[in-house]
Amino acid sequence: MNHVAPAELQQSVVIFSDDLGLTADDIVNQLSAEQGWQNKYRRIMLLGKTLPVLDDSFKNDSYQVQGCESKVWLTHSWQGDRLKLAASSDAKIVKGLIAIVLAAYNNKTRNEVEQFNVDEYLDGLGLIDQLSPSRGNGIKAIIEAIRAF
Amino acid sequence: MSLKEQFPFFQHNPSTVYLDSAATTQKPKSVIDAIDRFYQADNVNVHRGSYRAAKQATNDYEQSRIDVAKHINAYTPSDIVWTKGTTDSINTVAMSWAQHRLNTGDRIVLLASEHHANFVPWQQLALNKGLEIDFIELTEDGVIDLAQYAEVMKQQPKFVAMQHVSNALGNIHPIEQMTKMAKAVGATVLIDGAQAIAHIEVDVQALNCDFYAFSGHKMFGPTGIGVLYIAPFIKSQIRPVQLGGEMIRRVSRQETTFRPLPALLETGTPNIAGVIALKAAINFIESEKYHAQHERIQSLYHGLVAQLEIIDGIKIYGDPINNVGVVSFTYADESVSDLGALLDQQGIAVRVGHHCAMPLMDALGINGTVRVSLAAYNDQEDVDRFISALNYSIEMLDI
Repeated sequence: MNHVAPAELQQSVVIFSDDLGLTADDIVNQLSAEQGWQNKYRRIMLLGKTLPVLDDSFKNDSYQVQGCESKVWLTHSWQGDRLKLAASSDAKIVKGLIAIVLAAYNNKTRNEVEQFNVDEYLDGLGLIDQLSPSRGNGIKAIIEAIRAF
Repeated sequence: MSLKEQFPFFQHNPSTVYLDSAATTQKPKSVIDAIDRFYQADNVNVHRGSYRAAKQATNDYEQSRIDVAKHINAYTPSDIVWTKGTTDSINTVAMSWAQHRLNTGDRIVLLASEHHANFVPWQQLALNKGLEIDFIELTEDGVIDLAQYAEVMKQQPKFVAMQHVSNALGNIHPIEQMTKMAKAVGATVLIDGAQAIAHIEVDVQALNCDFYAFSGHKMFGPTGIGVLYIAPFIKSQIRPVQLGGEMIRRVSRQETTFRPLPALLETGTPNIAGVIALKAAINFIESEKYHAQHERIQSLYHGLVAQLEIIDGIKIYGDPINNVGVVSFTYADESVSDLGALLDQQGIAVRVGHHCAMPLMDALGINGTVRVSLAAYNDQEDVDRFISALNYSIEMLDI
């Protein structure tokens, strides 16, 4: 599987952002303020809308993360010592989960990626219990793919 | 006692609306009790012991074979082979018959809507042996294109494997007519009856098929037990798949002779509890109380379809007229996984995705559907709760 954007794409399409607008702390604050599954899910879907648009040229098998129930496309680039990520999904809830994961990992150094305690982060969101097993596994598959970059 | 009360699942999960019976049915207490009783009181091996308990267990076990044979009107109980389930039954046909009976250039026929279990074994065999596969398409109304089927029959296929009922759409296919057409050109016919057996009275003699496969767990029985019916007129073509105990007549250092069917394909200690509990499941679906549900479920189903049809943006796939009680749909361009997640939060158990029929989803040009499937224990309250949860989910997705 090839997660590296072809050279001509990297030149023609700006796909990576230094700043996604939300930090992991912002996300923890926003989600923990929401009561009830309706509000949490609504917030997750709204988070998905903050993701930069992923160019359609990435929405194919080469960029698809295996192990997700929905379609998830993920690409990355090391720029200097920073990991730049771009991803999307065909499902609104999953897109929100991607925003949550990317807030934690985008524009981080390899050391920061390795040191980040993702279980604690997800536990703090009170989210995993709310997700079906397949979606829970999907988010883990995305995290594993990122940590392997 | 209402029918629902016979199913302990609903006492343990009073807030769950279970609409995924096409994946697996819930089990009546009689089936659960049969498994329990076997392990609590009757557990010994079958076909071996010389003692009374072994004789009793063997009798119970073989009585189940007699009951299953009667239920599908097989010629004799020995037409019934125990398997792990439909997938195992179909793979057994591939290995015990097709492997040595089909040759390079032979044509085989599958429906475009097959479950992977009745697709992948044949696709792989075709790739290995150089067989040609003809797919029978569904028309825009979601029904089998019989005109195309008739054209395909003219090419004299050697083998036709087809589902009785589509697992993804619930359509009942005209397999009586299709089997007749296939037999007329000399083809061997396998019917995947997994989705039919709980809903349709099957008569294998009238059908005149060679093989009929189904699972216990989709007909209120346990998982891990299935049936392969093998017609008497094809038995001489069957070779053993697994070798070992149970299936042998005599073994010497030099050679082994095998017992005839069904023992030939029932190597090793079988799933005795599963077989015995399957008898309880057969008794359940043969009961008057169960038969009495048929019309009620059909009208519940048509009410459900009518309520779905009036929701703006819902697109229903398949034929909702000639159907066992399954409705498969998408909503606007929303991902079905979002709908599944939001329904799940509201206690609604439905299946979302490709339903192990990816070639069908490709043919329909979609990634998947939401599939709602009804069984005898569902009631109006289930349908009403589902529709209101669906409307709420749709509202939430408008963000």
